[in-house]
Amino acid sequence: MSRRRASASDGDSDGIFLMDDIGPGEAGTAAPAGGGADEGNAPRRGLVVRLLVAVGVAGVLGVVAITFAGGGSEHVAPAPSSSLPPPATTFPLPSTTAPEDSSTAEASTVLDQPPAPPDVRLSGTTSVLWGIQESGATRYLTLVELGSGGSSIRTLVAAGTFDPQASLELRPVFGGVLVSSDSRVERFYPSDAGPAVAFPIAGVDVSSVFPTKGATVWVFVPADGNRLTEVTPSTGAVGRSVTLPKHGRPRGIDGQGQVLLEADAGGVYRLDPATGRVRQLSDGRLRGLGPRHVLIVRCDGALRCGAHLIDLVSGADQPTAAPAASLPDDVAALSSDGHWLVGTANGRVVLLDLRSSSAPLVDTVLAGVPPTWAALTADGTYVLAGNEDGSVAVRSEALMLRDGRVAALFAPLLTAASGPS
Amino acid sequence: MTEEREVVLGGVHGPRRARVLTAACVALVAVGLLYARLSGTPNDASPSTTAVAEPPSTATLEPSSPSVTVATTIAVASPAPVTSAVAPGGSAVAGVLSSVAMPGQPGVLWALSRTAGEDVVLTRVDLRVGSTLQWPLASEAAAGPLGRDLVPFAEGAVVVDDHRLTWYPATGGRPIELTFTRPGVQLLRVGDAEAWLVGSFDRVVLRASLTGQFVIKSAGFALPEGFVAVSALPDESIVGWSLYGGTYRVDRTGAVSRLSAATLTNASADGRHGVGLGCNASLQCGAVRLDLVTGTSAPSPVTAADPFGWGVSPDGRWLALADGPPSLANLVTGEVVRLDLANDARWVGFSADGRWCLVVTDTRLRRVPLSAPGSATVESIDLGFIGRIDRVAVGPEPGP
Repeated sequence: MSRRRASASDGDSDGIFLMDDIGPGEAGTAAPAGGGADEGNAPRRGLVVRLLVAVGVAGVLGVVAITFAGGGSEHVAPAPSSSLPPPATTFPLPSTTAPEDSSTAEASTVLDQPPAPPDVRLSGTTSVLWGIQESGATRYLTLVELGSGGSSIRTLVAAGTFDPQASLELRPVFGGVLVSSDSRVERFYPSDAGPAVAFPIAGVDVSSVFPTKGATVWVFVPADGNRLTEVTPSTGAVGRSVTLPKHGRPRGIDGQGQVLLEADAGGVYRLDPATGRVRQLSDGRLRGLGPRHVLIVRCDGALRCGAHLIDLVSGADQPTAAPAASLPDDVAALSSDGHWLVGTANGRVVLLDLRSSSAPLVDTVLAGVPPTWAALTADGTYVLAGNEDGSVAVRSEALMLRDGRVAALFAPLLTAASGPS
Repeated sequence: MTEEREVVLGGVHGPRRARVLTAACVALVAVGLLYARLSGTPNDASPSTTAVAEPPSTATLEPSSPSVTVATTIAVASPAPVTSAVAPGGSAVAGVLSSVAMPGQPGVLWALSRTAGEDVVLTRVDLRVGSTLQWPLASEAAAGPLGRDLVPFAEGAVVVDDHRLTWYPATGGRPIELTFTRPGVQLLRVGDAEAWLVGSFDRVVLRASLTGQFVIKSAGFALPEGFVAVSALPDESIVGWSLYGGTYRVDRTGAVSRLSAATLTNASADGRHGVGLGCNASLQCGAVRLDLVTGTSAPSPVTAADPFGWGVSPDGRWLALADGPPSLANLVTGEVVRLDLANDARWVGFSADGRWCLVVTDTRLRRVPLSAPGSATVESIDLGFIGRIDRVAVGPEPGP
């Protein structure tokens, strides 16, 4: 039997959830408590747990009701206030078609490893989020699976796996996640909790790993003759390589599997890995990438710059209403229909409607902490955003944003954490 | 005595505006006092004739959006108190070292260096006659890292810190320090005594006159978003490159025009000539010669090196390469000449008259004639008395 604590905030208060006496594999539901330490004895603990579970279910449903009663109005998560970590916990999500209806939320909880984790560094690009959670000096790799009726959190890696002092970064890939320690990708962890696989190329930063739609990633190793090498993370197999032009830098893989390059002097190019052939797509800079589209900013002779959406399948090249100055930093995420652009800029989430609006629809700060990442769900319906603080997260929340508004606060995942006993 | 100077302060309101105006007044008073002290002597400012520098005066200016620019002309009546005198200070020490003279008038060398005791020193060496002038600045710990720019003018030099400019008159007179409320100030020399001041935070352009004093006024325009200024042309327009690619010119009305699709990487000190990186549709890239006055460009046959370097010679023919040992690339012929010098170059540049390539290592200045850079005898002087050199600039000479 393991003992651990869980904490979460309900979105309206700094309420603390306390979880106790739940062993590995047991389902758990967070329940609110008034705070306090986990100091009770065993007989009392069972009663407490049952009470807390009951109260927790009511609390969660209450949170859902409160959250969705607002009709999706903007909702900013309060700062987590406790050091008590939650274990595997279910957070209700709205249906993608009816986010206001909380009755469809289902509780499905998976718990593979003790103990449960609060402090989270989330990273994700689809409807699966990966997080590094921290409990005392121990870190855990956690998978947050999102669904239309609910979500679950699974702890995939047991204590002691990750160096508590290292700076960890995550790069979700097909079937799992790559974990980087101190700027070096070290292992692939599959989402089915199978054994980790060592990454076959040493000294690679996560920013140099470019996932494809399939099981492979392209890895950029500048020191190796400006080469891109194909790797299958789940097996550690190394495949073909292609040498990039000297002044081309890889920026992503498009939906057709071609490598998008940006020239040092400006200009966006596509490289076909099969032939090594490079063709210019546009002048300017790449600012958005989606399954079918890219967003390019280019300028005229008077340096008036605008954002253009290029359909990589049809070749259509259309100006958008988005002013170049309002775009998110770096290469942001485009929805599959090219309608939305999501990213962060100056510590804020930016969601741009590229079809009809020139003003960012979402520009918010999460619980007073600037978000550091934003991503679209796989179906392009929701935006996920979170924040972190360097190598050791102090706070992190994930929001679901719909149509430019915060539809639901689903996971106040992060608090400072006390270690498991 | 009454001096009248124009000062333009932009975008400040209410009490803050009052404070800034007050600070500006104080600065102008200081300028006036300095001017009064130096009146009649700015052009005969032989550094060897000045022995003592006074602590600098200070002022704070905040450039802002040109749309809210407020122009104020302030009559400066002497005397008036200076609010504070801050480091860097100390006395300038003048002298003549015949060993640092380089016949042939290669220019005036300014250097920021560190002594054995880790003190930071600014040195001016008139290479024509060997006269030197040194300002002890501050300890390295107090001064912070020497991540500074050094911009020479005929009558002094400006040390550009993150959000502070300090003008050191070649007379050895009192330095004048201007502090901006936000970091990221860039100084572009326009001729021998004028400069554009660009705030990276709001892109607003100010005009500075540096003729023994430091006068700033609004330029009335801002640089466009995504434009990175490199240098100023003789017609006072600003040339630079766009983050989205291409080389552009912004004239003094703020009008923008593209000079080349190639992206400017280096320019000559006078801004007339440059070199850029251009790429074709297959992402094959190479050096491009740029005439920044006429806007014409031509591919350069240089293939042995990328067009990134310390700078372009005044005639646009040579690029001092920054990567690897000191080398010169002939942008016309494509020849790359490795200078048979030590690899630890701290700076490679060109003399103001365009006849020489100058290479500064930790402690020595070497001069290579551009007429025959690969075969000529290299002349060298010892600058060890300066300390370990961190930043160097060669600027225009003062008047005869």
